[in-house]
Formats: sequence, C-alpha cells, structure tokens
Amino acid sequence: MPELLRPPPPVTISPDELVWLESCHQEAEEEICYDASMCVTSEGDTEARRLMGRAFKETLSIPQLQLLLAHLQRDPRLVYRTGLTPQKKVSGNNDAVGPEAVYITGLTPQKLPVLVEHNPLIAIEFLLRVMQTKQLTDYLNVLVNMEMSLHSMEVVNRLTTAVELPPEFIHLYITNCISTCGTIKDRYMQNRLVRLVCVFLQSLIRNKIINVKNLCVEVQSFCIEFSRIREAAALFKLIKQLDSSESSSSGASANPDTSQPSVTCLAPPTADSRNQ
Amino acid sequence: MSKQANWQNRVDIEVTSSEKELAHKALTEFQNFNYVNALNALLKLEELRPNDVKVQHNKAACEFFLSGLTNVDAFLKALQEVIAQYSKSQGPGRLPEVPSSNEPLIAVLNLAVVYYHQLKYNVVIQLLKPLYDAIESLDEMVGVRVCLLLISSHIQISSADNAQAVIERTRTTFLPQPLPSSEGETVMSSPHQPLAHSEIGVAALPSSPPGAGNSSSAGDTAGNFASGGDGAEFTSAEVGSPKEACIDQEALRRRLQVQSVRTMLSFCQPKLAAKEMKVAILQAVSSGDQLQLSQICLKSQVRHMQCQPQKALKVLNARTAIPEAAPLAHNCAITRRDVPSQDVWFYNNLAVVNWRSEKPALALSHFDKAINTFVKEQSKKAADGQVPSLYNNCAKVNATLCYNMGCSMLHFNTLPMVLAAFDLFIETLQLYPKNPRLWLHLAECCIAVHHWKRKELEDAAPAGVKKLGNGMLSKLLLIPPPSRCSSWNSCGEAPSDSAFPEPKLPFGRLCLQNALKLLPTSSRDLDELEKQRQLFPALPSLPMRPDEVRRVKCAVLCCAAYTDLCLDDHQGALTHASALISLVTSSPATSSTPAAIHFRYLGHLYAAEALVFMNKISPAVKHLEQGWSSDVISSIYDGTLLYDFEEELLANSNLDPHQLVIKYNLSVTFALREDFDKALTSMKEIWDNMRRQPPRVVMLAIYLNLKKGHLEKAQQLALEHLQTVDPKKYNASM
Repeated sequence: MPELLRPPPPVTISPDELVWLESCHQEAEEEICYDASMCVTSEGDTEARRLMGRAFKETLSIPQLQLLLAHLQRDPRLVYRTGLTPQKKVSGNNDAVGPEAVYITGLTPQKLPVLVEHNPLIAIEFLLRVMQTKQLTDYLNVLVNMEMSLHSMEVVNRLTTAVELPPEFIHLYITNCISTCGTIKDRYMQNRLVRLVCVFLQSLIRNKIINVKNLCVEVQSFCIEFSRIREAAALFKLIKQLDSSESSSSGASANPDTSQPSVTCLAPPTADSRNQ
Repeated sequence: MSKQANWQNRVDIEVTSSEKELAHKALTEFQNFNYVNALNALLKLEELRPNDVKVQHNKAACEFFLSGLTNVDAFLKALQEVIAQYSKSQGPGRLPEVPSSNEPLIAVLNLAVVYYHQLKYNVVIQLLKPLYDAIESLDEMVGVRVCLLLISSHIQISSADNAQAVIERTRTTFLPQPLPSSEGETVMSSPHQPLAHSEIGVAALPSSPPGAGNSSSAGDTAGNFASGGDGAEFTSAEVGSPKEACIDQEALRRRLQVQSVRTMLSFCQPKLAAKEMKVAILQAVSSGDQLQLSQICLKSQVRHMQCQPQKALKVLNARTAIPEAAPLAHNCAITRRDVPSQDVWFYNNLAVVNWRSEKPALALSHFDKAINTFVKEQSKKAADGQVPSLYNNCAKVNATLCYNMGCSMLHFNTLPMVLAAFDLFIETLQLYPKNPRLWLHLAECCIAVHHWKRKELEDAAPAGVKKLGNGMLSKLLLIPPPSRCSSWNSCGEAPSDSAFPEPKLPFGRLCLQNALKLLPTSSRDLDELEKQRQLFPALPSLPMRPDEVRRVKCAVLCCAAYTDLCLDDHQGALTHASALISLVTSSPATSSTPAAIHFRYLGHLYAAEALVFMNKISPAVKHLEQGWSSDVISSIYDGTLLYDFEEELLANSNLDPHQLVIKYNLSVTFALREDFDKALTSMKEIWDNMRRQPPRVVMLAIYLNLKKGHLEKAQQLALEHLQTVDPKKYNASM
C-alpha cells in the first residue's frame, strides 16, 4: 500500500534572531562599593532635625532660623532627611493604618499651616525645594485653603515671585482671600485683612504674576465693597489705569469704559479709614 | 536589649578621634587596593565599635575583595545579615524593606550588584524598587547608582518601557533645572520686600519674626549671630559654603544618553537609536573622552540594526584604534571585567553581521572562531588556577555563543550539524528556559535528526525490483521503500523517556508543548499583541515583534502536527494542523506572506494524512484540494530549507514541487477510497511532468495499474523505471 508523502516542516532562523554580544566594559554602578560614610557623623543633619522639630512647635529665634536656613541652603537635599518631606509607605503589611500613613515621617500637608504660622521662611524654603516633586500639589492645596494671614500671604507672595505657580492655584487663592474678607465679622480684623489682600494683589499685578483681566470683575467688586479703605481705592485706581492703557493701545473707542460696568465714584471716606 | 535599641545606641554613640583615624585609614587603604591593610584597620575598628553595622559591612566587602571576588556566598550572607539588622522583615527569605535611615543602603546596593552579576535581574528590580520609589530622599551617589542599575536590569530583561521611565526620572531628579535660590539669591537676602513692612507700615500690624523683616539686610548674616543661649551647637557661619553635588552631572548625562541608545535598541527602533547615538557621540567628543570599546560596540550594533552591514563592519574594525589598557597589579586586576575578551566579542559580532548579510557559511566560521577562542581562554584560566570572579560570570557569554552557533548550524541542516546544534541549544536552555524559539529549534533538531536517519535507512535499502526465475515461471519481486509505520521506531531507536534531552521525536514533542505554553495561547491574544504593537521577550535575542510571534507559533504548530504524525498520534496531528490552518487564515494582513502560504499548505497536507489514518477519506481529499492554490507556487520563502526529496522533485519536474506532492497524495487518497480512475488521472499528471520519476512515484503507478488489472503495464513500468536490487540486502522486517 503506498504511503502519503510527508514533507517535514521548514527550518527557519530569523535574520535578527542572532545575539549581539556586549563588550566587557563595566560601569561604576555594576561594582561593589565601600561605605565611605563609616564613622562620619553628619552633625549638620542632626542639628537640622532638632531645629526642625522645634520649628513646628514654636517660632524660632533669629540665630536658630538663620542656622536652619543655612543648613538647607548648603545642602538642598536636606529637606528630605530632616523630616520635612514624607516618605512613602513601603510595605502593605500594616492594613490597620489609614491613608495618612502614606506619610510615615515628617511634614504631612496638614502640618504645613503650623509651619507657615510659626516660621514662614522655613515653609518658603521647603516649598521651593519640593517644587519639582509630585508632592507639591498636596501642599499647594493645603496652602490655598488654610486660614488667611499675613504669613500665609507672605509665603504665597514669595512663591509667586520665585517660581511659576499654576495659574489656577493663584486664582483660587485670590478668590479665597476675597471671600474671607467678606466673612470676617470683626471690623478691625477685616480692615487689616483687606489691606493685606490689596497690597498682595497690587504686588501680583505689578510683577505681572496675574493678568488682572481674568479676575477683573471679582477684584473690582472687592474694591468697591471696601472702597472706604485707602488701599482698596489705590488698587481700584491701578486696575483702571491698566485697563485704560490697554484700551488706548488697542485703539478702542473714546469711552474706554464701555466694556466694563461703569463706576461713577468711590464711597466717601469714613471715619474708620481716616483713622488708619 | 533588642537589636533595634542597639541600633539606636550605635547612632548616638559619638565617634572618637581614634575611630575616625582608623576609619580614614581603612578607606584610604581600600581605595589604594591594599585590602589586607584595610581589613586590619577594620578589625581594630570593630573592636572599638562592635555593633556598628557599617564597620561590619565594610569588613565583609574587604574580605570579599581579598578573596578575589570569588567568595560570593559568604559575602551575600554577610550583606543579608547587615540588612536584616535594620529591616522590619521577619524571617529569612523576605527581601528587606527600605530602612528608615540611609545607613544600610550601601549594603542593599551591593546586594543588588551581586544579584545583577548572577543574572537575577528580576530580583534586582524587586530589591531596588523601594529605594527607587523614595529616590529623592537618597544620597545622590546612592540614588544615581540605584537608577543606573535599574535601567541596566530592565534592559537586560527587554523591559524597554520601564527602562525609559527610569531614565526620564533620573534626568528629572539628578539633572534638574536650577532652583530659584541657587541663582545667588537666598531667602534671607532676597531684594524682594515682604508685604508687611514695605507697603503697610510696621506699627499697624502684629509683630512678625524680626528675621522676615530684616531679610533685605541679610547680606551680612554670617557671623552676626551668636550661637549661645538656644542650645545651637553651630553658627550659621560654621555651616560652610553650599554643598556641591557629589555626582559628576555631565558624566551622568552622558551615561543616561548611552542608556537611551540601548533602550531604543531594546525597543527594536534602530532609527531612534541612531538619533540618540548621534547625541551620545557628540557628548563624548565634547567631553574629550578616550575612545572606548563600549562606544564601538554600541555604534556598530546600531549600524547593524539599521541593516547597514558595511558600516557596521567598519565600526567593528575600529577596535584596533582603542589604546591598550595598561596591565594592572593583581589586586587591581580583580576589579576589572575581562569576559568576553575583545577577540570573542569581535568574532561573534562579525558573524552576526555576516549572518544578516546572508553569508551563513562565513558567519559559521566566525562563530566557530569565537567559540574556540572563548574555550581556549577559559581553559587557560582554569589551568592557571583562576576561579571566575563575580564580575567574570561566563554563563551569559557561554549561552549567547552556544545559541548563535546552534542557529547557524541548524541552518545548514545536515546530520552532524544538527546533532551538534542540539547540544548547543541544550546548553543555552539552562540559562534561558523561557524562549519559545529555543524550544522550537530543539524540536527542529529532533525532526531533522529523525529525517536524516530515516534517509540513511532508505539509502541503505532503496526501492527496486528483482527478477526471479526464467521463462514462463519468472517472477518480478517488488521491493518497496521502508515503511513509515511506527516510523520513529524504525530508525533503530529504542523508546526512551521523552523528558530525557536527546534528539528524538518524543523529546521533540515535549519541546513543542513547552513552546506552545510560552506563546500567546489564543488568536485573540495574538491580535491584541499586534494591535498594541507590543514586543514579546525572547532572551537572549532581542524581543520579537508581533508578526514574528505569529510566525513562530505557526512553525511550532506545524512541527507539532508533523511530530504527532510520526509518533502515530493522529488525533493530535489533526488538532495541531487545524489550529495551524486557522491561525494562518485568521490574520488577513499576514496570511499572504510566503511563510504563511507555506504553513497553510503543510497544514492541509498533515490534516489530510491524519484523516486518512482515521479512515476519513473524503474530508482528507477536501484538505488536499484546499492545500493547493496558485499562490503556493514559489511560496518557498527566505530561510526555508528544502528537504531532499523536495529538491529532487524541483530538479526533475516542470511543476512546482508543492503541486507534485499534493497530486501524489491525492492520488494515494483516491486509491485508498478505491477510486482508481481518479487516482490514475492524478498520477498521470505527475508522470507527464517529470523528466525522471522517483521510485515512490513508480511504485504508486505500478500499484494502480495492478489494481486496474493492467499487469503488463505494471511489469513494464517495474522493469523500465526501477533499479535491480539484491533482496538479500533486506532484512525480514521490511
């Protein structure tokens, strides 16, 4: 009985199947290393840690402040070793711990307001160091929502001039400042905060950190509401000046204010504003 | 006292000046390769600081270097003990968590380096992952090493995506944009006036820290503030000048650029690799670096991947321009890696370039040189009493050379070559058991050995005819070719355990099963791979593209169907052949390639044969009719090796050999169905188109004529076309 022909399957070697051999060159990271930090004490780190611990609890004295800042500037990465930044939770074997446990040590975003109030310069230095990390968003969120104060405004102001902050953060912060001014019951505190906000906004406008057009209505309403305060009037004047100079440069109509709600005059000065 | 408390005490213990001196001495001696002196200093230091794990670590490192980097187990144990003292892990065998301080990180790094040289790249990645996640908090030197080692490990396992991600993060973290305060301004001395004091007036506001207000006059801070009273141990003046980065950023930039090139090669993106290579060369030239072998290696590989063999060869030959390394003293020499040697590296890569240029014979000779050189070098080292050090692990080079040589020999497909190739592939398998192509090649070796041995049998007992007697009582004795029934047994091979690695079909079947397990199981998985353009790892080679994965799977199924037929597993053969046909036809994009057409043809052929054995003749005929289509003509694609009888058919006929095979099988199938007229018609088509009919064809013709009662015709065919043979040469079993 004849048998069927059964051709064997072909043998195929791909053209790029063969292996290229690497040279014997060895890089530094592939070598065993000696720990050169043996018996080398990093007194600076210890001192910085100690000062950092105090910075959370109280306002540091000038020498202490200068010393801590000097340490941070000498070694920018010190922020990661002095308990200023959180370290990530590295194992999942402690399920009882809540979400905050992701920050095992150091400065959680929730602790930032404390640092801002006690030692704003340290807070500024810290935020500048973490600018390029992913954790920055958490800290900015806390900053924008914390209680308005001279120190928090100082921190935000310094940040805006040092680095480019997200525009939405700045706008949100301004909005919060303005709304906080409206809710304060104590007249004295309210005036104080309004003045601070006005100076802050003027600084942002003059430094071209914000484009006043984006917040024009909100800021103008704020100025009108607190028109009795000298700084608010000055801010309003500044906004108008900018607005009119822009209109004239773009060849607008004779009335530069047609696009804006017209404001005839500020409220007459009151006794309170005269006294300040 | 617990170990944790011990550690706390260690950290707080002040370092005395004598301890500092000993530590400094140990470091200096170590850096000068004087390991004995370094160890002596460390032993003295250990007496003074018995619980200092850094001393223990450095002592272990020194002892390891003193052993010539050979006592790896002892070093590993010492490292794990050091790490365990800080780790919160419980029990042996668990990888340590990230310690809460920087102290044991060098030990973790060294552990990773040891595993790296032991080719345990996945373990390295797992070990370094926690450090990588907290990279910003690490010391720069340690952080950079972690990143670079991770990149290399990812490249080694063909995980190019992850390598690229680590490269980007390394750049961002260690080569950052200058921070605002690094431009000369400090927070204290910034000219920017704080809001409180310039705009509003000091008196109206609650007091703020004096430091904030005096920031504009902070230029003379140094030395202005006394240290006493607050417990501060230092003044700001004593803090010192800004700490310089402890890494060479330009060197790191160049290194990352080179890693980018390697990553692009892993991605099988030669164009992008060439682009990155250009930048790397510019950086190297501008930094004034001396020409290095690694640069030549990378550049020639890029040219090779761009299919520019002449340029690749030119770059390879530039190795002669590299200045010879100065000989080192023994202590220093152990830190140098010398595997593979330049000659081995050169011959191997020269062969790879020649292979790609379709010069297999030249490639084979260069591979041979590479292997011989490598073996000679290793033998010499062994004869000199040298034990391979950690840095000179030969396993990877050995496996690579074996794989390349094996592929090259298999290509030639002669019995001695295939037997040698099999042994070489077995050697490679020990290091790379997860490469489906490797398992496929092993099976191809088994099939080839089976085929050639069977041919030897056939050649020893060719088909023929013998005239017995004379005159009226004379008879013609027909001697057919050896039967294929239980063919794997017919080669004189005793049945053996299929798991035993030998070039026989049962082991071949096991190899094919393993290959199928490693490849994507369903057609949908393959489609997904193609859709996402994912690469499939195939170490030691570069990863496979999706079309190559499909081709390999077709090859595996084809071999599996053939092997099952040879081992009389007809149901298995039918399953595999059907899967092959389905796979080939499922992708319209690739189904018209020569390889796919050829596999479809074989699939139908094997399916038909399996059905014939299962007594399902009509479906078998259908398969044979489907197996033939006009595009099968010249579907012999690059890389296909014809076995002997196909070459014979090709040489002696006017028709395509595939067509002849189909028609022959159709003729046999019709004969089995006792449809002798159709069988004769098919047979006539073959006969008329052949210049010289092979014995099988003649036997079939004789059989059909006998069945049709054409006795004289049958006799005539036998006498005219069969050779006369001596029946005494054949044993009774045939």
